[in-house]
Amino acid sequence: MPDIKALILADTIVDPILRFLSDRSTTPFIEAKTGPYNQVQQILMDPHHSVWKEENELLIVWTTPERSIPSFEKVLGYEEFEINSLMDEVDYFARNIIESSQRSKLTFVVSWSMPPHYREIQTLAYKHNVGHTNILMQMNLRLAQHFSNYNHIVLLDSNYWYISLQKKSFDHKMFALGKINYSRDYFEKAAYEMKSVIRAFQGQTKKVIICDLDNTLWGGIIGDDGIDNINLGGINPIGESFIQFQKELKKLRERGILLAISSKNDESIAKDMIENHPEMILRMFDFSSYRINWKDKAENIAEMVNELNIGLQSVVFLDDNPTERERVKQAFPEIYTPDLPEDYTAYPTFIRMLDCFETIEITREDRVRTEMYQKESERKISLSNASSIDDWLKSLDIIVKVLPLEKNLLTRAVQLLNKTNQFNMATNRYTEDEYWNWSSFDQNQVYVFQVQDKFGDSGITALISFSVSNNQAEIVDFVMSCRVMGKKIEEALLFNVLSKIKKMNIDSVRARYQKTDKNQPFFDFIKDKYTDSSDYLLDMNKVPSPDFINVINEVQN
Amino acid sequence: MDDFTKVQNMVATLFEAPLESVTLQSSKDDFVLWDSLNHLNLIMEIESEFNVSIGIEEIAEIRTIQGIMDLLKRHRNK
Repeated sequence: MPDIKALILADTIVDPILRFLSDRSTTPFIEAKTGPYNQVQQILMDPHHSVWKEENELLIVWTTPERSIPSFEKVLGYEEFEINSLMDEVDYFARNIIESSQRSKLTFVVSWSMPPHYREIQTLAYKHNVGHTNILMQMNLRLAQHFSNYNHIVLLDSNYWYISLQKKSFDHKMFALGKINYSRDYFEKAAYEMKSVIRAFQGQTKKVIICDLDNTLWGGIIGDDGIDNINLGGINPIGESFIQFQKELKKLRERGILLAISSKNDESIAKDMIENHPEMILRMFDFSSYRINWKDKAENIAEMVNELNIGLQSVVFLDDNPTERERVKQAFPEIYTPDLPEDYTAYPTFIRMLDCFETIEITREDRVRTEMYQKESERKISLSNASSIDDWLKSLDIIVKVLPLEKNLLTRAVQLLNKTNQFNMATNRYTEDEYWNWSSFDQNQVYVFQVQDKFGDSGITALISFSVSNNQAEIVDFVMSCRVMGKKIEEALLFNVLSKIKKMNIDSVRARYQKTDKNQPFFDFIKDKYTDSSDYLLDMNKVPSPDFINVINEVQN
Repeated sequence: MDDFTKVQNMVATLFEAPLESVTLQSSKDDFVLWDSLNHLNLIMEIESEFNVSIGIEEIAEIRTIQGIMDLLKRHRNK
């Protein structure tokens, strides 16, 4: 994207904005110059003025109401004024801008506002044709009316900048020293907002949101918690937040932004939740595409992007899990993958504040859609272009700590056994006492696994237990939280336990899979590790040890 | 990042100078772009980065990187 050249005409010193406009950390890069200070009207009226000699793609007119409209100066001074002549002055100003706007592709006019450090007489603020707020509002509306037929003139809402800044917008020292009317942070904000409008004109806004399901659209893990225990709506503050979040997504969909799902889940369970949970706002038909499976998310996203025939740079990926975000960021840096807040109640605000869905006008959904399908490039994205999943896994620095079950780990171990549905071999349920008793027999051994990667510690997230008799070992339980699935951690766990069993000079290990409605993921993992003759006997040679996982045996018995 | 490194980065970015050319001994005269407007930009950056409020008299006195470091030290000890 080439740099954009801009001319700023202002009646105050706005030069501190220049370095924020040219800041290269956000696109586009705007190389702006300021015209001679406080000569806005003169320059707008003079087509031969030297500032027009150079061509600029963008013209920014940034004025204060009291300087550009003499009658408003009287309003502020509580002098007598004529509302009609005030409006005439506004008309005159607007016409001059329209005239000059022909010289550039795009013109920004910063709306007039009074800064928050200026206290208005509150009883009078909105009084018709008297109060400053009232008159200022009429002035801005008049400008808007004049510009309504010109798509290349955008009236930017400076009141919103003041309100959303939530930091000081005026710096009295800078005003005293340099007649600078705004603070550093205000300039930064203004530059940021201007850039996002330009991105919309460049067609750089996002067109698809691909979102995860568990802890992204609802609270909890559908595969483990089940539809009745999912936190969505109700009278729960977190459940309500997910509802609000879904409503915001729905609004974006109404505006023509496509929605899609990328989730590591059992497809039928997830679909059942989406279709049948009474409080779901989004249903399956709201999603233009989905991949609900246990495959690599980058692979799934590549497929969907091809299917929807859109460019990677139009995609936003929303996932609560930093590891998945990292995977997608690494595979497709063009995709916008913002960090979701850790606090679920911040989700609705988070999505409302995203600035990547800016549009020039709100078009009818169907129009946007057709346009989208037609305009986007045809290039196919394949994972072979992206970095490999192995590189990603290596980059995670996964560490698995192996701990023999001890009393202080009992509560968590039993919780894991009783709560896990999907990656669970036998789905045995226990009380703590039962389990402690069982594990205290000499022939029974229980190991729990603590998993961490560079994003943090997931805590105790897996357990394998086995029982030895007659020179044979039987794996009794093998459970793992789906939070850590999809990273070959399960391979490392099984390899570790089989090595322990081998050391006991046992070469026959059985792992009896007991099918339930939900534990297909476990079967998908184990099925090719059985010997051909089966009867649930494991072929130890078929269990690899992933070299990128650092397994640490904490205490040796 | 220590205070000096932060100041060094700030000055280098603002005055478009190579990082290594910004030392404790550097002064206003060493940077072409250290003009009166950029002087104010520098003050605003320092105040924002270090969350300090620099007095109006102090602003005029800043002429060297060492001066900035001394000023930060004074404000930190307040």
